[in-house]
Amino acid sequence: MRIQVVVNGVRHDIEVKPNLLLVHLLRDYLGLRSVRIGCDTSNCGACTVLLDGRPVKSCTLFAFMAHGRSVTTLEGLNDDAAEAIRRSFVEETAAQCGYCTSGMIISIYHLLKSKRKPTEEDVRHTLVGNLCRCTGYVSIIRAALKAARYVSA
Amino acid sequence: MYPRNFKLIWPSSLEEALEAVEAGAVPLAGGQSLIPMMKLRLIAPESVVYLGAIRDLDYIKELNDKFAIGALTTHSRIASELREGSPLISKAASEIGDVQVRNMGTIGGSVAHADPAADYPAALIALGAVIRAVSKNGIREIPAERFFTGPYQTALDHGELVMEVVVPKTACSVGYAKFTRIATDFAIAAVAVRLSAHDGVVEDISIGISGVFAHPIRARWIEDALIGKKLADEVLSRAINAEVVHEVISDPRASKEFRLKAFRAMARRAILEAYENSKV
Repeated sequence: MRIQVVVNGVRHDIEVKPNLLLVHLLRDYLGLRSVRIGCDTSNCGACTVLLDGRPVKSCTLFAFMAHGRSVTTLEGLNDDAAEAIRRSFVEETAAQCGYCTSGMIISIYHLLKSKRKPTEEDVRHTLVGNLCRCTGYVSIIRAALKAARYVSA
Repeated sequence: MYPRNFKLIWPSSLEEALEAVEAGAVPLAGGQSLIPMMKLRLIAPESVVYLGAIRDLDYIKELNDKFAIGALTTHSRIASELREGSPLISKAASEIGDVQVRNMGTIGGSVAHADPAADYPAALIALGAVIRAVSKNGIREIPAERFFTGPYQTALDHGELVMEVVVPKTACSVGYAKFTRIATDFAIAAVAVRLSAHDGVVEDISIGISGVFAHPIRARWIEDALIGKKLADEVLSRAINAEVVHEVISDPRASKEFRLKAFRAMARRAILEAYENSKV
């Protein structure tokens, strides 16, 4: 079927097969390689993108489910909050292999947009659906809280 | 992993969706259970009807002492919008999966999928909720207690869809306790409680259980042992530790013996939570 979808602010009109997953549309058709395929079973969150502003797992959506909606990937984040997260991730060494990082940033970005001063508990709750096998979360949580301070400063 | 390709039906109305379901199409709502199953090729339907195309099944309506929740309402919305109005269903919604799953998954999809360890069934049974099913022949009301009939099996007939779930506004006190291996996992045991008490004496109580048996059930044997009583420790212990006639399940996540222990611990926790809330 033909779908119309806005990805990172750009309107696309694409013919898709019903069984095409959103993650493949983003990576293979639109070249947005920040979106990762990790577990491919809706557990790890490496494929997290924003659908109409809310985090979802793009490996567990058919592309046609994004019809008439807007999708934002890491490539589409370019405001102060995104910059604050980028900076705090570097400063706190919150990435090691980097595979989970785009999904982590998308989830943290949504948290910072919906809550001005998140607590550590808020951050942990937000990141339940994002797995990291290297850094063990402490530095990621620290980076998220630091980013929140940068944004509200 | 690609699911096998299928014929997609994009309905423009509920009637069109019902016709497709009648003809054998598999209904897709938020897809958080169906898509993983299709990717693992546990199922490979010939045709799928996308209910998400029908936007008017996404609602929370207030009706006197109840809320009617449209089948396509997401767990996120239920968790945030019913926190005050119906705290038990809100709590159950907030316990499902993770943020991303709750943003897509819907109450109609979850209820119809009927995972025996899902969060909603325990809460719906404790609340005395009603599932309103729709088919070409009209609308039928099914009490939650009779809706879940087996693992992934419900009282829905061929051609029927969940249209909405009706939950009471809770004047009673509620409690919910869940035991899982890891945060995002399904429950090894989940217990939901609705209770009213006067001067510390339990006047009415209903208890729903998920994860422990082949399908979610109401724990009438515990309820009966508590009505008319003050919840002194020995009264509660005797009720919770009473012999369970239903077959407790065993799976790679928990043995039968461990699951029974987990269930008893969660039952105590949820009942005491509701009891404490009743004193406020």
